[in-house]
Amino acid sequence: MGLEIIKKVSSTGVSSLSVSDIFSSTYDDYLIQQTVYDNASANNDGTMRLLDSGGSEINAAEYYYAGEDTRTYNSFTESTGVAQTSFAGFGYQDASTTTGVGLTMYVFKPYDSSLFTKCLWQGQVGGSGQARWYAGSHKSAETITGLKFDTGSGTINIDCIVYGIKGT
Amino acid sequence: MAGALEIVDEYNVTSSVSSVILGGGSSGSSGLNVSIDSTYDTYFVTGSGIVHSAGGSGQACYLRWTVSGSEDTTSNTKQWAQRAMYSNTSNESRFYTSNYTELTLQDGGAESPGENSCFYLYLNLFADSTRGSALTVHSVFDQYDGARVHSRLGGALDTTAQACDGIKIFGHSTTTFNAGTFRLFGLAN
Repeated sequence: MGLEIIKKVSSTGVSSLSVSDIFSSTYDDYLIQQTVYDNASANNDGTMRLLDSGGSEINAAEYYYAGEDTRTYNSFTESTGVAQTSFAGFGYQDASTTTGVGLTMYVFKPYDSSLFTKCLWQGQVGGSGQARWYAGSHKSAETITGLKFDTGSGTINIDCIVYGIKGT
Repeated sequence: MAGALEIVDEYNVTSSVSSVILGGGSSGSSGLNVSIDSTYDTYFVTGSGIVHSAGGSGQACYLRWTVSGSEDTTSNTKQWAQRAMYSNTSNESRFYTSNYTELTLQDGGAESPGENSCFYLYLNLFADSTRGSALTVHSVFDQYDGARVHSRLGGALDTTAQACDGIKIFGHSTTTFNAGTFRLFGLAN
């Protein structure tokens, strides 16, 4: 028990990546690791949405988040969202770069239909270089079964590994 | 070795409690009688789905280090600094270097259905009696009475060179935890 791998998905030349059927009653909490987010066709700034019990993308204005971008090339900036249609602050890449990224995200109790799902994510992303530190809450008590990354602009090569954090 | 992340202690709140102790030997909430010890250098902690008995801006969530199962309330030995991040206003720096005997994991609690709190911690060198005990925290919690989500990101240190065998997580003096899952893992050396 501890950390158990659930799924690894990867795709090339896509504008989004859906990772479905990863949350269940087997685990309360999850660790998600993203190591590839590169070869962008255009400058982009990624977002993430949750998938509901039927696997459908939730695009309602129910996403709240708070974070900071600690940039190598300029002053640090804050990023906030109230009643947005997605979480922001995921992959970030300039066109045609192959610098890669490293993103770690914790997802808490997504399968519990009585709670608002929580996410904490940190990443080193591309572009001119920045680290990101974010927290988010999905303000709707419902069963969440997966998630979907979106580039916001253009295509990307992307991967994602999902682990369950297993207790006793 | 079963894996790199090994469960050590766990407590699931099924009826109202004023605090939860992970590790701490016989003082631990789980009854498993386990402690943070030299088996691991680093421990990982998760708290999720935490629901307080009442909400509002004063319903905080705190952490204290435990020594031989008892919470360490010695003042002037604890340091912490954090970024407090909000979804609806500018972020703030929060820090305390003296007098405080506890670390603030959050300063608001759940109050409406669905609202809850979550966090993870990394605990370092707690069992080493020759060094202080450090931790890092990242938390997220609902404050929709203020129309926002709130997060704390930072670290804390008990500067006393002593062996700490657990952590105590507790709420505001007027509130209890009505729900929540708390887990302590060891990272295999």
